[in-house]
Amino acid sequence: MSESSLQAKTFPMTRRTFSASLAAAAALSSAGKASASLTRRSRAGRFAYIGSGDGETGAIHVLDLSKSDSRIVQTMAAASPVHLELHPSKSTLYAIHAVSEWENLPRGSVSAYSVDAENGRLTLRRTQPLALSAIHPSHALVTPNGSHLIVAVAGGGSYNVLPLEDNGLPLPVSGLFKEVGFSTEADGSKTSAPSSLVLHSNGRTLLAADTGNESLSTFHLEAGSLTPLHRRRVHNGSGPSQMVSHANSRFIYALNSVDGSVSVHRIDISRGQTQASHQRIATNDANTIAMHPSGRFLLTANGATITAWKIDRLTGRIHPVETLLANATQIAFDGQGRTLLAVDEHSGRIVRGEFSIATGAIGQLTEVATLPSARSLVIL
Amino acid sequence: MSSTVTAKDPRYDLLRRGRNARFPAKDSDAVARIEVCQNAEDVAEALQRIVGAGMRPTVRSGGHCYEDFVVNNPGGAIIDVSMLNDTETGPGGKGPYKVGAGGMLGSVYTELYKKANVTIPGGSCYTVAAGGHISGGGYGVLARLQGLSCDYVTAIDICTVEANGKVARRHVDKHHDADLFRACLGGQGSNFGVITAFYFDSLPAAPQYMSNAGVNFPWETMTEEKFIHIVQTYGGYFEKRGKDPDTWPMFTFMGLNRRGPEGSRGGIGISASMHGMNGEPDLSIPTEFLDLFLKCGDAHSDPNPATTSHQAPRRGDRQQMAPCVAGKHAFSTRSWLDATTGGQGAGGGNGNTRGKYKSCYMKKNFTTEEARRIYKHLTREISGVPVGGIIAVDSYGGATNKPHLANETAMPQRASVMKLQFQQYWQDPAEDEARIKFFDEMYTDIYSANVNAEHAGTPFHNEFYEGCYINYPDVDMVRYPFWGELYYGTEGLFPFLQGVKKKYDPNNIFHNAMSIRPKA
Repeated sequence: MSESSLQAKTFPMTRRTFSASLAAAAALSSAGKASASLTRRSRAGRFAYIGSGDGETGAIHVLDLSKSDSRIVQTMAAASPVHLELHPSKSTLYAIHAVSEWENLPRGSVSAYSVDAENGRLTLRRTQPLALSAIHPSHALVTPNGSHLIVAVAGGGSYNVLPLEDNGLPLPVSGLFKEVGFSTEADGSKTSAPSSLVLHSNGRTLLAADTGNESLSTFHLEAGSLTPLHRRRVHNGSGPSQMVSHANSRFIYALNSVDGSVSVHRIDISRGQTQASHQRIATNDANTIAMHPSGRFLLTANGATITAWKIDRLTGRIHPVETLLANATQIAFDGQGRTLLAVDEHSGRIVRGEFSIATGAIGQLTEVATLPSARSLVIL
Repeated sequence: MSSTVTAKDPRYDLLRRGRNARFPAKDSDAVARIEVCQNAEDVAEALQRIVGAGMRPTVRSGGHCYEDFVVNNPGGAIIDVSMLNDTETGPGGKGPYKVGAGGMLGSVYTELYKKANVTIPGGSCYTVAAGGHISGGGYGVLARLQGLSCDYVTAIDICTVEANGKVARRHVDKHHDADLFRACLGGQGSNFGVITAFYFDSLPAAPQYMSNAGVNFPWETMTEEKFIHIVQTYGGYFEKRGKDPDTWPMFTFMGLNRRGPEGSRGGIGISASMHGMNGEPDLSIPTEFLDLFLKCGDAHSDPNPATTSHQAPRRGDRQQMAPCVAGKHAFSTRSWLDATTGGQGAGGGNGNTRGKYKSCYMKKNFTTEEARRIYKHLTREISGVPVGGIIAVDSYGGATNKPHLANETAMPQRASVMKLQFQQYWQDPAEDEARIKFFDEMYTDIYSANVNAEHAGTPFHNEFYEGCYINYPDVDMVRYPFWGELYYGTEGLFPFLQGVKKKYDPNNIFHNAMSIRPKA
């Protein structure tokens, strides 16, 4: 594909940032145990789920990737599906509804859909409200054993924990941690806005990026209860909005939406904290970030380009290796990391491409669908 | 240091509950702990621990919250300020006066009376405590004569939580955090922090005596026409004659009980209570008032009427009632303190009773259609909804209607002449759904008569109504996007409260189903 034809297929970038790619990575990292007993499984990378729209205009779309002419096979109404998350069994999809009221009370909600392994179609099974004041939730993850769904609540400045039944359906919120902001003479006052979650491979340490209080927080997770361990201010004016973990769980990468940088932090699991960044690198105002399943590459997108960064496995430091002209607000890989999907919230265009695990190069991008206001993405 | 009560403590089962047995709705909705505080230092320290643990704090003074705002708090913590119950006066019984947030009104009345011969024009339930009562406005039997409790507050001690999570102890008044001070005068302090004490530079004198008498109309001989006549006689008085200052020492109550089976008790009861500041009251005004009802039909004289909705309905005393005679009502006169604190117990629920409540401020008399709808629902028989429920129509107006105080407090209702409280009590949880549904249907229908289509189902502010009272909260109202204005008016108070909320509780630490929601 020539550069000119590629540009014709690209689309402008917004600053909207959500980490469906992180959801995919989390699901990937945890899929093994919980899905072992399943007898019916779809082939990895066969379906993609895309959330779009705000409020009552929101929807979840099922995209069949199995054929060369990828197509939308189902669209379901879903209020503001800001984030989509798969259960480790891949049999349940969760939609996080970023609303300010649910059933007239100030709270968001989460819906669980069963996934038909054969055709990828969704069936709504249950919707649970979040706790009071948990408005505009932003992100979520499922614990590797499939026992709990943890939701980051940007609007309410809190974390909600919902137990999951054996069949993956969420029960009412059982755990809550209400976060606070900070105030300094120099920086004024800011309130908390948790926006991204990562669960350490030990399954007990939750890491959270908080755009509002500009921090990376760590919590001890046990029996659905969160106990704060540490809070690290990233840097003044950072506003970390997304965070991904390296496959070796030694490093995390925070995308700082205010200054557009990526900061690299070591995880000191023995002390339950993240360290101050040992690398902070400008990304030309990236506003989405994705970790390749291999842990060899980090991808960022800034509205005009997608950049692949090579990761030094020992230090975690990154340096750019490939840049491609393409607009994206969300990036996700399939389980093998060979296929990449990118969506642009502004134009709604969804493109698919091949990714070279050897070089970090992104091959031909093909437009596969157009979904206005596409904002969340996960690949089954 | 506060006393921490967890599920392992034998006190937990009692202290986790309030006075409305509906809440917590289930065990999993209950708090993880209750922090029983004895002073403001305890409150600040307990609040800091709760915030540090990422828990949701709720606040309890007397435990009378009608909805689930306090005890439905899964895994959270109740800050119990009921032990902050000191009532202090200045030297020689002069001002300033200090009332702890946990002071029960009955005790506050008693202490202020004995120490200083003053009172707060508070409510009618002995066990309601100052914290919720005053910060939600605070009205009662003396309101027509002396105004609202919040109208007299000159300073407040309150603990708030800063953006960084640190607890701040504030002494707020017109010159210090004046916006927060105003917000706590009707905007419910538990929206913004934990109130620990109220201060009053001066307070009104306590009455010396109170006389009361009543009339009663049995359901057996009631007709729709007669019912409309009765309620319009009542409402008409307050729309006109009741605005004259000489009537302000009189508080009246009209209890519209739901009709029961043939021969059952209840009916339409009307009482008039007259206060005498020095000596026994002049009874000419309540006599004039009660005489009006002789034109409505077979009025019976009630020598022992319920003077407020919080008194238990009189049982088995119908035979003591005789036909009313003009100018000759059976007044009973007692000292004001005895009349105010005696036998009023735990009105509004005692912890074993389930309850549901609604409210309405009325600026005018009942319209015929409105009265007709009330009659229809009071006489309706509904499967699964046993007899019960009362619409308590209290007199209002008088000293509460000082328009300038709408701008100095967070009580915007300053033009109403009656205040209605819909009350329903029951015991069996199995009746919850049917009873709440019945109440909602009744209320929605009544308040669709005189309200435009946009606000139908509510007594939204118009020529007839002034919305609802936040101390009688009703979560059914949150289905209306304008519920904030319904309770706080249309003159900018609600946005003001949202601003105060953002400023003093930036993390929205203090929240419930009807708390002030930060601006979107």
